Amino acid sequence: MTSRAGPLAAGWHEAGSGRRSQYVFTRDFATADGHRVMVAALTPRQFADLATMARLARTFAFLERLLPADFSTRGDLYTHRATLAALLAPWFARRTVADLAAAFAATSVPWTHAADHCGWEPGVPTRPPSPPGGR
Amino acid sequence: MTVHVNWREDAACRDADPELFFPVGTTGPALRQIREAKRICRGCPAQAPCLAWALDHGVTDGVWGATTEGQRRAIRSLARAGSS
Repeated sequence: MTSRAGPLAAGWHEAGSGRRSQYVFTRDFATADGHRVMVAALTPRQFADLATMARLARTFAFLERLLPADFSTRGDLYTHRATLAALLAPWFARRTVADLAAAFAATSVPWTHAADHCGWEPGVPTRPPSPPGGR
Repeated sequence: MTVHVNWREDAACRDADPELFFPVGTTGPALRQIREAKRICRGCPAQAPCLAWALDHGVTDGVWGATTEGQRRAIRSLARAGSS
């Protein structure tokens, strides 16, 4: 296991066991086809990519002004993770795992089909999920 | 997405007048109530989970996590417009 993937895999297991993850923004979301995907934004760039992908960049910018907060800092991203997740959840809920695979392919955001989380590939930032209902 | 509710135990508003957080109207005394409610929220250790809970549950009335009903409506509206 590489040094980069080691902490990632450990964080995945922490999230799966229900313990608090050491990472800034780690969440699992329900999808339109009844699956769950796990998403981890470990850097400001990854979170910005996630916001752009979900077309929530303007919403998050508005929220930053309102709170005030700065989601490009690890502290504010961690503090407000539940609010950000609440706003992201509907976007994930409207998409299938296949839709999400296509969307994530163009980003730097680590993610995985939650059923596959124990099989995270070291050093691979994005991993195509298994076909829903497939083997 | 489910936001856990144990943040309530740490909320600063537990010791405040509940009326402050549910102002009637948007002018005059209500504005003063909103300002005071937000002041309490901004010093509250539960501000972030409180706002998350209000957004998650679509709470319409009152000041939650230092936001008013109108501000939360604007957040939800922006999110819907952007991410649909």
